[in-house]
Amino acid sequence: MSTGSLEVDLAVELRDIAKRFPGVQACDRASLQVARGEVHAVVGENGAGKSTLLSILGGLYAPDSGQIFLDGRAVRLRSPRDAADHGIAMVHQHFSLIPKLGVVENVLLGQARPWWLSRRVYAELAERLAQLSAQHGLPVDPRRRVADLSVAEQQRVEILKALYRDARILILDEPTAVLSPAEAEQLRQVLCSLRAAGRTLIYVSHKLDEVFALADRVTVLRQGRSVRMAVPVAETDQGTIAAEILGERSPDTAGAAGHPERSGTALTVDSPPDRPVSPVLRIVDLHASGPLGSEALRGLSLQIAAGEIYGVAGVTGNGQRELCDVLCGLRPLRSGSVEMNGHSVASLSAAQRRKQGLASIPEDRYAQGCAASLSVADNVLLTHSDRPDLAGCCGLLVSPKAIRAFVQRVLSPLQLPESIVAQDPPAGSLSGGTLQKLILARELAHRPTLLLAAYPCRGLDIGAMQTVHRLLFEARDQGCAILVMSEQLDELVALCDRVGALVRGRIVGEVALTWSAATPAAPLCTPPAAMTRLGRLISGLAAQDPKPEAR
Amino acid sequence: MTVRVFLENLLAAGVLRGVPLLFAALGELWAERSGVLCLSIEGTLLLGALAGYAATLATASPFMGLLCALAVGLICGLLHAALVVGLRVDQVIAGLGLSFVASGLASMLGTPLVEARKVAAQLPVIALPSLSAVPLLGPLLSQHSIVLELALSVWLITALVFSRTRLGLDLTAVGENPSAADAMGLSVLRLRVLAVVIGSGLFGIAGASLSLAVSPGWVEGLSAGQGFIALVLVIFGRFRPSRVALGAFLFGVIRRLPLDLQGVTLPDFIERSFLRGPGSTYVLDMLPYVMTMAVLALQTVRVRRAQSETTLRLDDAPWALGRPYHRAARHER
Amino acid sequence: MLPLPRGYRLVFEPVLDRDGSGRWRLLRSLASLGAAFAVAALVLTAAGVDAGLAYRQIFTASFADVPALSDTLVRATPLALCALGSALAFRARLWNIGGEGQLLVGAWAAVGVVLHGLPASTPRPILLIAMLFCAAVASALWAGLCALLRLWLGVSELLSSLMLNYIALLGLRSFVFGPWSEGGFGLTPQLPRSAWLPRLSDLAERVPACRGLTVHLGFVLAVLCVVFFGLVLSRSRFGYRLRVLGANPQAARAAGLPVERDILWALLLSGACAGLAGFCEVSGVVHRLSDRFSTGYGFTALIVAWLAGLQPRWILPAAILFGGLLVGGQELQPGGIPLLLQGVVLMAVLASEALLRSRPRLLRPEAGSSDEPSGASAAATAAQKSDHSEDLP
Repeated sequence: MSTGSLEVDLAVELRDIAKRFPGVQACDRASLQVARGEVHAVVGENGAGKSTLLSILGGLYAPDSGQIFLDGRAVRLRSPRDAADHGIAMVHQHFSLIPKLGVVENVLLGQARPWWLSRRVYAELAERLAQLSAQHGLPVDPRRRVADLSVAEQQRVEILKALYRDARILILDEPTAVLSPAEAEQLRQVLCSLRAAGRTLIYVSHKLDEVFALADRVTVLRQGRSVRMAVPVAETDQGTIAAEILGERSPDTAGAAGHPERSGTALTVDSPPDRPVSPVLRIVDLHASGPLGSEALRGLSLQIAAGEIYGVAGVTGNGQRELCDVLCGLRPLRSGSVEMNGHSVASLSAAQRRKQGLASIPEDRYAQGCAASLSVADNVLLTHSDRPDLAGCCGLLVSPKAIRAFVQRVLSPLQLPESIVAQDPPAGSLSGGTLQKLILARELAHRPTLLLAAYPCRGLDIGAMQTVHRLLFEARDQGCAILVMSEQLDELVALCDRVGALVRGRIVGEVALTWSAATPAAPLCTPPAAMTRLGRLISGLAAQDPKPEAR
Repeated sequence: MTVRVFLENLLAAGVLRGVPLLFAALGELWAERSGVLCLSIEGTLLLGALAGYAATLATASPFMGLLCALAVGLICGLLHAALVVGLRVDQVIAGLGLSFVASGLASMLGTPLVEARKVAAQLPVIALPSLSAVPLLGPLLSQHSIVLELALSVWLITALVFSRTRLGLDLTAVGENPSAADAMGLSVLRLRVLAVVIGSGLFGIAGASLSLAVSPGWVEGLSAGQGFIALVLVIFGRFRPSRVALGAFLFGVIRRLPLDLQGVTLPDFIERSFLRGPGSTYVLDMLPYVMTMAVLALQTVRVRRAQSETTLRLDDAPWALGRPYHRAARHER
Repeated sequence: MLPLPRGYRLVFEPVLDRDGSGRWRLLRSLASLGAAFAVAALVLTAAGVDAGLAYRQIFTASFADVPALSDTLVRATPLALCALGSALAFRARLWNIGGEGQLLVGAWAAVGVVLHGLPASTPRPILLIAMLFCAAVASALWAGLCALLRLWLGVSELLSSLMLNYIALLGLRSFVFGPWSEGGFGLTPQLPRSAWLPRLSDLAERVPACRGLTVHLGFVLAVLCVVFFGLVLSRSRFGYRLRVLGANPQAARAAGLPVERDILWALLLSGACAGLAGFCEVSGVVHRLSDRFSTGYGFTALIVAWLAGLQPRWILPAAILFGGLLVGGQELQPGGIPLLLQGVVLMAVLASEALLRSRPRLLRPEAGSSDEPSGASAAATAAQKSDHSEDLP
């Protein structure tokens, strides 16, 4: 048993780490063994405990039980500073940078010395950073403010920060989630150069193709446990690992290559209902500003017909949020037109648009989609509070009985556990998946003609994801036009009739996945071809790429 | 009375009136830069004023009084920090609550002092007769209480800390993005407690500067909302020490203005208006509060306009201001 | 820290609480009240005051017999109304802490309409209704100023309502020392009898037991308002929207709720409640305007509202408790004791809220936990590990 630790020179070993958060056992005796100088991938579904386990190694959380060994010696990491002193640096999914400060100041943060920050300190540090970035191919201007940097540049600052501290062990938590394919490839080269320089890399991901392209060995986490420990990638294949990730759920239904969301749903409907001539949503040459006054949407145009699911593919931050806000009436447009059912909605308020048949699933279900401290019933009512049929006896007040009946009617298609309906707990205590289903059911209860679904499956487990997809398909079949945004190309390809690539505030190209959705601008593609083409489009590589093969 | 004499007197008295505001605003700046809103400012200031005055009465040394006020401020700061940083109570309601407790305590403990009718020593006045010839600032420079020097040195230190030291950088980080600061190995808890305690200590000193130099003596409700004005001054100063100082002195002058205007003969139409009738002093006394609201309105308009411009400009306020930080909460969201 | 056996750790886990309803809320408020009085006793003792005696005095003066209780109810009336106003705004996370200023403005308007608006011969009911109406509208507009400043210019209502307190007080002074003054003192002339709210003692001729009972019709008004706004908050769409606004304004906006309108109305109604309190005070108690007729009701009401958990139905008991505290405190020397007690009660409620938001959990030391010295653990865990982990290849 565990003879491996004698054979391999282990840089890191985590043994039987348990960590509980309120309501969740995030890690349940998970273990990890990482050899010195390797790229070690940690894979698993969302919620499998990857981030928690590595945050424990990063010193951010204290484990409830279990041990951490560095170079064979047991250590206690009380804080991130402790971890840094042991040569561990972590690049979090949400960067640990202070936007208002400059690159140099950000690198200075959390260092013990010097206490007096003269101009010379800054100059020397800027020079050192320039050296490091030249050495590892991480181009960043150290004089700029972090808020002005792109996401990829911010990630480079994070890596530079770790390098400046001479971290021996670098943890990257889902580093490619925010990158375009081209940027991801650049990152891969940086990581290879770091491995060549003898550093140990721990790479958290749920994208198996990346893992197999980069990592030396892989550990699979499932439900907080390590189900496979340190398998060399050379001795396994993506299918096996995908099966391990999913556990007893058969890999056949989950789809190959760790893209479970493609399963079962891909191209099930080939004959969409008759489409009317006029589109439900027509956006022409839309311009709108971003949060800080920059122009986020620059001439975006798209059309969605009734009974069609339109996907917006693209790296986050290319105008997705602004598009949602403009469509919902939360952000004014600068120029261009937005028409719903043939009428311009530019001057309508959010409430008026809802009356016109718009429903939306917000990007951040906790911040925008629900009021976490209010009960499930209150959250179901959120967009239905002015329904006339909720009124009680005297008309002015609402009737609790009517509300209860209405909430039950909305939630019935979800088949939620009895306890949720009976006890009516606060929405914040629901799991992400249940909450998302609740929001979706609430929005569909409006019988919308246009549904806006921003990242509907972000962070969901496979069961919840399938329910969300099922509900979306049902709505589509009833003639609802649906706009879906997602970072996952495979999800979009499985779900949508047509997908457009959103790059810097414009749709730069489209592909169609079904016959009826195909247009000259959106050629019909097979799913793999569509993925390839979209991948190139959102990387900004191909405005005019070679003709995709017809199906 | 010539305009020049009027202005010189106004400046001499007004700048002095700005001193408590400056102490208090700088204290608030410390706390707010670390992300903690200190609404306890008014009560702490009152308690500091009382402590300073009482200790001076007891020891006959105004410097002991100053020290006592500082100590009281620090204790209030610890209590406030325990509530909002430790227990993560809502910062608004906790600050107001603490403000009430401190005001109540001050009025309770101060009653005997009001009745005793004794007069405590004041902080010494610095006389520099050679500077009296400086135009406009002459009377101010040639003779002023030592609190002015003290306030300016606190201001200088604060400015240096936030622009040139690691502590300032760390506090800024904690105020902007506590979870990032935490991940960088900074102790959010420790830094915020430190900032709140230092800030509250300055509130205490602000109080003492009031009762021992600016409006010597102790009466109930001595501060008359100056703590809250200082709160607004931080916003006016865009969270930067230099502009905060400017605002404090400006508001000191504004506070003083109604008093000085009483002795001046104004044009006839004003003399006959409600501004001169009985009860009119109260209308003029509103000036600082009205100005405070005007400042708030202008400030937010400015921020809004800046946001609509194409240039990148972030809001001045620390992002995490008023938001309690809990490491485990990272997981929930 | 608590003394715990070696290896045990006590951790506090955050718990998502329901909107603050339920039995726990009551229990918690009672417990924190008890704790507050205990802490205040310590402070008082440290300050050289006999706490036991002070508490006894407070109780005797405020709750011991019917006249005392009547005085308490008189004090509770403005407290309940102001607290109701605060609770309305706080429900929506609108920090209207200008209750004091709104109360003053309400009183000003009520007195103004009697002294300088309507003729002295106006019949009593009409005069009273006019006073009530003017007070409510004036205060609502005063509070509405905060709403407009917030909606148009983005000024935080917290700061503007704070500043408006001072402006209201100074404005009041400029009237009572200026145009409305009686002989240059800070007092207006007494209101005519027809502008007085009926008191129980008015019935003394017919019911002797009512002699000296100062409680006035305003208390009934307060009860009615509490019931009305209780219904509005719990059962109306507006109340529901306020709850959503308080819980998550971003979600409210995304759901297309009329956020701006609700903010305006919440602050208007909140101000109107405080204005009614001002009306009750001048018409039911002091019968004239002075610059110090209010002993900080607007501020005390904030604590009352919080103690009541922002629930209208608990506001009345909390207001009566604090009314008693004020009545009892009048007799006490030194003067600030009630204020101190109020503050301590608020702090105790806040602290208990924070503590109850988290659930304590005792963690047992596990075999092979990181507390053990490193050398011994390696062997111990090897056996454990074989139970469930896969081998290294």
